[in-house]
Amino acid sequence: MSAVAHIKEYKTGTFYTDEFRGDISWNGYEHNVLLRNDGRGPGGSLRFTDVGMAAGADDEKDGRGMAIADFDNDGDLDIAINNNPGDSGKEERARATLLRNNVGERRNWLAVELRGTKSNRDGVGAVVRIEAGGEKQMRFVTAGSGYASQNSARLYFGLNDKTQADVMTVRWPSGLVEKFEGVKARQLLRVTEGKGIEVTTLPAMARR
Amino acid sequence: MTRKRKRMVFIYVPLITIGVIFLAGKLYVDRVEANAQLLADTGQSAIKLLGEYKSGVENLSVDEIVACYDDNYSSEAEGFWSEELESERDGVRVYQWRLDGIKPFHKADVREQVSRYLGRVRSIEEGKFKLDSVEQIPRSGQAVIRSILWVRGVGLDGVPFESHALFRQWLHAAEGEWKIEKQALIHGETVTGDRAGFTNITEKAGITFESHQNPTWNTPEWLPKKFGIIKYGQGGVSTADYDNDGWYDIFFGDGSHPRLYRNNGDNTFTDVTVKAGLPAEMIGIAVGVFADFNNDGNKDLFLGCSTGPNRLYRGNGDGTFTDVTEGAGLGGYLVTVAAAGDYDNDGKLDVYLGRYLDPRTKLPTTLFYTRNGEGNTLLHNDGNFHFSDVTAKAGVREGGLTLGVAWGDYDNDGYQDIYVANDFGRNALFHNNGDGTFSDVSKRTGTMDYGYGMSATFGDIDNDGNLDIYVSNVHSGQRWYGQAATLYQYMLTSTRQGTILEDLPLYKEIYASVGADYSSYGDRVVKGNSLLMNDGAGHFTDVSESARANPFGWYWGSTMFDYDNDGRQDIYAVNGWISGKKKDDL
Repeated sequence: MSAVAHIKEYKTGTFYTDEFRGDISWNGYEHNVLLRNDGRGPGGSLRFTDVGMAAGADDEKDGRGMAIADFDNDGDLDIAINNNPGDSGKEERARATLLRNNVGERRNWLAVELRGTKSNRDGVGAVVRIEAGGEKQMRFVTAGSGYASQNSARLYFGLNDKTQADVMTVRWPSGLVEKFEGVKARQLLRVTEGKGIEVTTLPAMARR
Repeated sequence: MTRKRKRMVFIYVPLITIGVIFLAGKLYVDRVEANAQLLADTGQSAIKLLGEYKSGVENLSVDEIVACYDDNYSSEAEGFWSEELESERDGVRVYQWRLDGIKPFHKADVREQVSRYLGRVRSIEEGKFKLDSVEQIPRSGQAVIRSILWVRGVGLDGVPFESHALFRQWLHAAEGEWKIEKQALIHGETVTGDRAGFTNITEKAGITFESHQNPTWNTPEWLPKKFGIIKYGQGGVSTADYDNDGWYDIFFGDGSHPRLYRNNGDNTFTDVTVKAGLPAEMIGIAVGVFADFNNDGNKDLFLGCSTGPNRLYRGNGDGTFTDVTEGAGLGGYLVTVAAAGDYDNDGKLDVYLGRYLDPRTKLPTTLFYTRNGEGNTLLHNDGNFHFSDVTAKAGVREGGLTLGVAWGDYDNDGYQDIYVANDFGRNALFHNNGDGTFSDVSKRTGTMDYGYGMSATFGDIDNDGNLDIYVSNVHSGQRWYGQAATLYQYMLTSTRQGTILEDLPLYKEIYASVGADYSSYGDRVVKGNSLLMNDGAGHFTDVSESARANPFGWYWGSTMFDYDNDGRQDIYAVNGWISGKKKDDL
């Protein structure tokens, strides 16, 4: 094969047609990955392990957008994926995927909902920082990211075996910074800008 | 000197000069072509050899695998490795491949090693052995490559496993047959698990959504004669508690039938699209953004469209929406992605739209650096569901083929910055100056991230208080070496095709940003997902390679989230481009 076999086709558009590809796949039937953050290794650099298969989160459809939210209010983040029909002709490959997380609920967590008053009501752009047992974390509210997708505006912090966040601060887009201390785990915190905090639980599953 | 001889000099000197230039040019062109051909041939040979290796793995055949090694295989810096348990939690075990000691390694040792590995395997579901990069070609018929082994199957103990390993291999051709003459394991791991961390509940939950291609792409006016592949692009997933009942709902973008599913709070969902006042059919709505644009406590819904006008729906507070598109000023067509953020901190959410090129008339200019997008749009929220296009004033008209936009305050100055991931080229980081304008700080901050960017997310992945960036890209050295060969060859072909003038400004831009690394630019664009770590002082470093955060594949949606609540954010990335009728790939 010539080294330049395909360059002409890139320039004419031929390369991007179904006819050119034919029946074969183009990076098709590939598995999604779940890269577990294993923290900093001995060398000091971060390291991830793809546990997608091992954790059963390795869908192999032609996924496009994805979003995370705690759909069952059990304290961990689940996954929703929009899959493209691709060119397989198999209808089931166009179906969406909803993956329920069975892992996170085993450890402690904190959920935070923000309501802006001076800032935008959704609190988009607000940054929440916590400190638990000397370890720091931050989350911030978004309304759109990834590919054409939007994650949960309710923020989730994993606390592992810690039973509380010693300190939690909220920095609002208006510039207001609020500080809360001794926030117990496994709760939903509703913070209204400049008006304090409501400590509650996640809405409980209705019985069917 | 006679008059006649003088005239001769005037004629011959320029002729000779032209001749020399022509000859030098011809020699240079020949060299470019020869180099490209050599790289492509070497790449193809390596791909073929790795393919044979892969078949051997899938067939559980020690003989087939060992046949890929040269009889005179010899490595002084190798040794037997074994799988050492590194961690076990949540039903997942991770084993690192550790060398048991260095010894002179020969073909018989390779056989022993392969036998040990396959000896623990009951069955192989699938194997891949992919060319990552051609590092060196000392001479024709010799190469040093990096390769990625990916194997999944079931062990003798009945437990599913997956192995991921990165090798450096020294190849050479003997009588036309390429063989491995030396090899070094860079790193390898085997992961086993009960596959119970997540449960696919799609059907049980009543999520019946199926995606469709946008039918407009097939109409005469829109038939993408040029960039036909755009039809495989959509769509997104947006989640919000649109009806304020404490349960997160789901919106699926789609080519023709976007859907809103209400969470019933009992592990089931109901399609409420029509009930909520949204049209049963909406063409080209690949992205939806839930945001409270009028701060009344109800989520409104912005819908970005590829082949028609964007739309805006006001949330009424009773679970229904009202179309307020008319006169709202929602920007142009060819929207791929959208995100809301308050760039001027006026308390009202603005919208940044990522757009692609017009497939009716355009192709990505070059395969690896393209700036002929329609231009992204920043819409300022004026209140009362009216928006103004402030793109020019704000300086955020990004001309790449955008597939990812993310807001985040990377420098903690209280103003939302914007990161843009672009297909076929480089990304952009826009610093919010706090006065209604932004500055493109991509080069200075090290965030250009050349590649096929298909999504971007901000998040603090190392808990140091600064936002890092994860970008999904393509990791496939195979395609680059198999098809495009070298940048110089690409330029040469463009010259012959008469398109070089269009491309020249792009080459100049590439050179301006990568300088001396120009010739290795091709390696960068297929190196996979990027994890750009923020040092807190205005600079980012891509650590995806050392952090093993750039697996092989073709990634779209991605996000950071702490799925196991251990206090560290993990990454999920969606993989796969076009599954054809046959599973065979390149």
